[in-house]
Amino acid sequence: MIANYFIHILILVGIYSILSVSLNLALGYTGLLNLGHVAFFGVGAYVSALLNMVGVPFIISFLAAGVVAGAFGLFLIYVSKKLKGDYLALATLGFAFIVYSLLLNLKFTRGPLGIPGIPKPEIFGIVISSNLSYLILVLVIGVLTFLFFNKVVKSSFGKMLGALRDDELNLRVLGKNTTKLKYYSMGISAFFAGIAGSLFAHYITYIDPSSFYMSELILIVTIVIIGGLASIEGSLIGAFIVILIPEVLRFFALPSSILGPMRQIFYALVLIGVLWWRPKGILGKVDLQ
Amino acid sequence: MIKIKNINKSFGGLKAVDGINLEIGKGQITAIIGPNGSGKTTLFNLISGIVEKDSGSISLNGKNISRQEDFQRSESGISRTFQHVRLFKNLTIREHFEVALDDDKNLLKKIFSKNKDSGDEIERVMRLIGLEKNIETKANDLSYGQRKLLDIGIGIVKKHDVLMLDEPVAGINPLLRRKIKELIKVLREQGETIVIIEHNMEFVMDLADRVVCLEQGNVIFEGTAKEAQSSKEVLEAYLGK
Repeated sequence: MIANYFIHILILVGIYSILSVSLNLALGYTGLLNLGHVAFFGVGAYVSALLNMVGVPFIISFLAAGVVAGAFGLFLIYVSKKLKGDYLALATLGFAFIVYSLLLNLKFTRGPLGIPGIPKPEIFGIVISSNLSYLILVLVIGVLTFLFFNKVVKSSFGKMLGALRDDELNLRVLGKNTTKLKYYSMGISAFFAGIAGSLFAHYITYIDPSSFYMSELILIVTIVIIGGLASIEGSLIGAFIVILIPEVLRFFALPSSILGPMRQIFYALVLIGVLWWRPKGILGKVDLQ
Repeated sequence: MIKIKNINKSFGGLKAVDGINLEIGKGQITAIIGPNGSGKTTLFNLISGIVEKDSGSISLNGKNISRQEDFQRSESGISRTFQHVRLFKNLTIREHFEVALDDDKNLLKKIFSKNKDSGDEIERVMRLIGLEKNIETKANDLSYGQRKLLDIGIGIVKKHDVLMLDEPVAGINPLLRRKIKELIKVLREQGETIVIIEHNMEFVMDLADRVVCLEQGNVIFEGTAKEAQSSKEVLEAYLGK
């Protein structure tokens, strides 16, 4: 029982690690103040769930979740490419609200009723039904994601993203098409948020729009800031801290009406504490601006 | 090399550049001088595409670059520095040079391709600009003078036909000023085409092959440095009538 509980926590840590590492590419490495990441997570979850429920194989649904979320990311950059800093943050936050409203009002997403009974993944005839096998699946995808992002940020492409974050105009006068760079960064970032959404949907087996709203957004951004901007390892550590620490509250017999707000207070306290101790986050390489 | 035809730029009611015609010859050092607000930096911004012209045209090596975006003009061969140094504060000296040297347009390919070894080229430019610092130092940890040198170094390593330096010695000590002057002389010997904006007349006088003086967005003088020193228009622009 306890082992199953820990496996459940590790699965969530894995999913949120993928989600926060992908946000860190746009936010920490590229300097795009993106508050719409939760929308890509939601799009991925819904696309994967809906496709799989109409008979599309899991692997295709899973990849489609990434591709459709990636397309949403490209669209977001297309409409906001002239915005920077706070204005970009507001525009991306607005985008998250629009996606939330769509999920809440479209017929095929079943609005606030959500989608119950999402099947567990089936890969080459094997159904990933137990928590342990799901953890292995999340671990495999998580490690591949980590290796990919490690390659991205250490490549010359990654250096360009860092230069874009520090001074876009200077990078342009060095002959680099920064708009294209933003498209690539946001596209990759949203793709991985989409596949994290797919893993989430098929694990929880029930999704509704409230799973992809403000509280989730705060959670993801908190993970990235605690772990540190422009640090993949930091995002992994951040996911562990933010997912694990509030679990301590479970050992107190608190009613759910108190437990929810307590979690939010916990996130805020951890965030303030870490930033007090290390203003760049635990492993952050760049300043919060 | 660069041909500017009747270029105009206004900011609201202020005419910053007023129908300037100018030719910048290959292998020459052209100094653009003039008092504050005469339109020097706006002219630089117009050439490099940071500011969009109202009318007129700019061509580089016979090719009209007026409609190109700033990064495309850079690809066409324009390299520039800024009056207030702009660097990538979280990147190291080495990373600055690597970004500047990288002219591969296929951005996604870079993720999977092996990073090029630019060590020799970086070492050459570091020696040339006289920047004695560990190349793993972040730009944020450099002094103002070192940042100026790095800024010029990036402009040099980036593939270019014209190097435009916006007040390269503004706000630095006399020793470093001499160092930068010597560097520009070396670049001239290497056949570089250089355009310099400079307030300090003395700095450009024994450096420039040609001096262009601007006032209120107009060219009021064009000639040699020696002619500039005795020009009534130039003196009036600086000292008043």
